[in-house]
Amino acid sequence: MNMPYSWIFFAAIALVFWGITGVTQKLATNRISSELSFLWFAYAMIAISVVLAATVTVHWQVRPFIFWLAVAGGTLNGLGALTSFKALESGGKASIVISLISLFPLLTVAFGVLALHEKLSLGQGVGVLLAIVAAILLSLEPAAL
Amino acid sequence: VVVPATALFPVVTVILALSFLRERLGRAQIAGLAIALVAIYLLSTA
Repeated sequence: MNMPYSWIFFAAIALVFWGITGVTQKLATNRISSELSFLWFAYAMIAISVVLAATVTVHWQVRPFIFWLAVAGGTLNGLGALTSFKALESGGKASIVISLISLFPLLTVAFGVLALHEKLSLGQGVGVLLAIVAAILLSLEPAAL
Repeated sequence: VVVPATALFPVVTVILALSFLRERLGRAQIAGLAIALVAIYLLSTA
């Protein structure tokens, strides 16, 4: 599906779904353990994967390097999800935890600069500084709430 | 542009968490949220 501007449609759906999931994860970890919350989260992912594999034509033959890249991405994503569940279970507010986690591009930019020797744009430089300030402010719990 | 657009998903979470979960934030955290959104956008572009 390569209709003009179809990316806006898909991006908007991702925005809404990922936004809602922060709250559903918080509600789940208020009632059950982060581990069980994660397991149901993972089972839902598997269900989607099965439907996708059964209905969409995919070319399974890929180079081993690409395969392991995809596996690494899934593993890191899953472990990140599990630790975010832990943060919510430990009493973190959904609004704060999800916003803090969303600063992850900070690490992506840092990796690009340090490991790949990419140049930092002015916008990214300002973004890095603001992200650090934001992380500090977000972690400041009000004294009496 | 897709990444910056989807990177702003915390806005949805914050709105829902404040309205449905009745989360209350301190002034510093509210300022942090606003700054974080700008930072996320800047970091995700270019």
